[in-house]
Amino acid sequence: MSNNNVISVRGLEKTFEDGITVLNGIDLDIGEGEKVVILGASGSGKSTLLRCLNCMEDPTGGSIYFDGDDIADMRIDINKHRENIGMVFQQFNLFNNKTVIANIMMAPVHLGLKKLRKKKLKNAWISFTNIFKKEKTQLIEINKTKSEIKTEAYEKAISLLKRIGLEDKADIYPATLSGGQKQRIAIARALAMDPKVMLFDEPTSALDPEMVGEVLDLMKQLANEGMTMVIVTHEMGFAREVADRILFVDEGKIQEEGTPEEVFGNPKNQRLREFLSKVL
Amino acid sequence: MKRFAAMVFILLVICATALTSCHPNSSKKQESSAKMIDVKLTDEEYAFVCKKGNNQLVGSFNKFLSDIKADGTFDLYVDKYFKGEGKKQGYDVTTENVQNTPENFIVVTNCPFEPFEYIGNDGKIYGLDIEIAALYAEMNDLQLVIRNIDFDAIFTQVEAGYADIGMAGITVSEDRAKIYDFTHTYYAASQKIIVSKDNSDFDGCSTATEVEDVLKSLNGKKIGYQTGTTGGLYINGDADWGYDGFANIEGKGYATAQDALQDLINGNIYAVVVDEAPGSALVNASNVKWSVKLELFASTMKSQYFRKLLVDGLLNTVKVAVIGLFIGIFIGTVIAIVKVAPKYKLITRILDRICSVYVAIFRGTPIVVQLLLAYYVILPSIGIKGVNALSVGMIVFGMNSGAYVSEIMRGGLNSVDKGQMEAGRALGLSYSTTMLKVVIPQAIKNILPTLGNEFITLIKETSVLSFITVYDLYTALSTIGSKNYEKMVPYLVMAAIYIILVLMITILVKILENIFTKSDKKKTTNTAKVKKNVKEAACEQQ
Repeated sequence: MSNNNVISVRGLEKTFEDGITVLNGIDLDIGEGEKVVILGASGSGKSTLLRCLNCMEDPTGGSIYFDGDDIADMRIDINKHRENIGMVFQQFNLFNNKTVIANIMMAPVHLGLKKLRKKKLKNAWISFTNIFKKEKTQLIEINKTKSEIKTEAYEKAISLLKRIGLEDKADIYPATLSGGQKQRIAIARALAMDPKVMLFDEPTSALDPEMVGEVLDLMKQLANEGMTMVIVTHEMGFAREVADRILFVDEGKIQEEGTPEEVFGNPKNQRLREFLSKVL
Repeated sequence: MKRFAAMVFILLVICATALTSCHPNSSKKQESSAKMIDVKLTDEEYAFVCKKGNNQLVGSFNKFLSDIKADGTFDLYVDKYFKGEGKKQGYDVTTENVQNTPENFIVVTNCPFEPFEYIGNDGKIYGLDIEIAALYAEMNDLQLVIRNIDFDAIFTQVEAGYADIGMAGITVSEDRAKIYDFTHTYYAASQKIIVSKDNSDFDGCSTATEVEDVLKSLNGKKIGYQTGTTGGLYINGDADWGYDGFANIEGKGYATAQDALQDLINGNIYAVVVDEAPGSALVNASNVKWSVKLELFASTMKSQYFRKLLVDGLLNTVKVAVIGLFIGIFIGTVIAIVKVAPKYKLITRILDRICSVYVAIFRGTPIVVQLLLAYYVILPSIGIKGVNALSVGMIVFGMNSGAYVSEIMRGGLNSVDKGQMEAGRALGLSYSTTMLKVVIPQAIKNILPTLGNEFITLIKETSVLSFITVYDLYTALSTIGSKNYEKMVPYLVMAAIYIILVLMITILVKILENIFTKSDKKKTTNTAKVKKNVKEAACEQQ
């Protein structure tokens, strides 16, 4: 594994409880800043592959290396790593009981406060043990207060909303928004955690045609800024334009991979040719 | 609000119709419509009852009894209550569950049983038994605590150690003596029969045998009695007591003799068998005009004691229902989460099993059984004494409600889109955080109407609290009715209060629903104002 790989997958397998094997030995490296598009027919396992990358589906075999840890290992604290893997869903999945700004702020504030509490607890323990020690242990530095965490999260959320042009929607509930607006906010919510990689699970499939553009534009912007992205999509034009590399998944394996020119211009795999003839 | 007013109006109309139509002839009758046949049916003797093995109390009380019999005090009391000579002394009766400490002398009794125990116009308790108890407490430097509960409950309370002594004109029998210790007897009593005014079946009867012969000839008639008293044994037969019973007569047990008499007047039963002494008071008070009944109720409510009793009862009912519901929501949520949580680990599978058993037990038994078991069986047998019956009621109601709420909650959690949980987890939030902050709030919104239903059920079910001697709304109004031997008006008032309570809950649920569903509405109110406070609001939401 080279150091500039964000995610490395080795021999990934996924068998569901009903015995159906969806992924059957996947090897994949995603480099920093790379944009990878996964193509495949419905039921080919492309969504499952993406969902395995942040363990939304627990892999039944193989390893996924992220940030030096094998996150496929059940003993690893997956929550810690998920903070750095943003995910965007087909159905947006905004929290219905929270306003737009609260949706974006929730994870940064909650996790920030949790870390603060942990630090304070540790400091209390250190100062307690220091009573009995000759050589005093240094306290952990606490660089942000509770209100600073909240203010910072708020400012970040507002700037994200400004960026997607929805700052006037900050205080309303998701039920009142259009699909395109919801998906852009969902992307902003993922970005609020400053992820190292973003996973997109068919982000435009549930949208009305006229709203697809606004979401794809935002994704293109992200791509241009150098975000590492793994995208499952049916938007072939977008794939051709944005992708550094295209993977074609079928029967639980990567059947072909290459640059958009190679895959679209000169497909070698028979199934890929059939697939492309249907979608193009 | 309009609907609420309309409902109250309809309720009043129903009450008024009931008042005028129930007894069309009542205005013509002035005198009692029942009479007591003056024939002693049984020979029995009253004594006080203590916990089996409490030799110290029984011994000291027996000595006290023979002392006051010897010096004439006892006869003075008897004259006071049976002949009306001398000033009667009233005592406070408590509605709280006082802990049974050595300093307290806790007497449980059952009113009205005139002249042994009854509640006077001032709300204090009077009677022969009461004055004896007070004198004993005074001579032994004990704090007198008197509680007025169901006759049946007297025995269970004494046995469970919640009270020291039962004083309620209790007849000594071999059967009872096996389970409880009795003091020496202090009064010879007898059962008598009460029939309606027009009944001439017993004219000319002068001995018990003659009355029994008449009774034996009455096929298929129903005769009422107060449950747990000698009257019931006399009608149904009991070998230990030497009563043959009447195979041709159907016995009917009532919570109080007064309820039985009311049923007799209403024409539902043929006769009532009752203790002689309170029987005559009962007959005298029976059958008055509706206007008088209303007046009696109104005058009773003028007494501060009875007003406090009603307010206490209402508060206890609401307390048990509200706290029960909160405990229920807590337990129910925990169970529901255990049920829907993924079962990778052994511990979650074990918890799942425990929760299933819990739900099966609490849904499989009536709440009355759970209350009785908790208060009279489980708590005393694990050695916990003198617990507050109200707290027991709250906890049992909460645990019972938890079993039902768990199923409601499970449905609610399942109704929330799976994507909500996935989105939370994908952001790095833990399962429990996402559950608490995202899924449960949405689930509660979905199940709010059903939870309101559960609350209404709880409010109404609290009427069984009287089984463990909690002063709830039912007990309060029942006691108010006992005061004048007139329960029709108190029972109507009780129904009205329950309906008003339930209507208030309905409105409350509506308001809550509106608050919770604000996230579904198309427009927020006063956007400008919200915008100003958006930062604080957003921070608060976290």
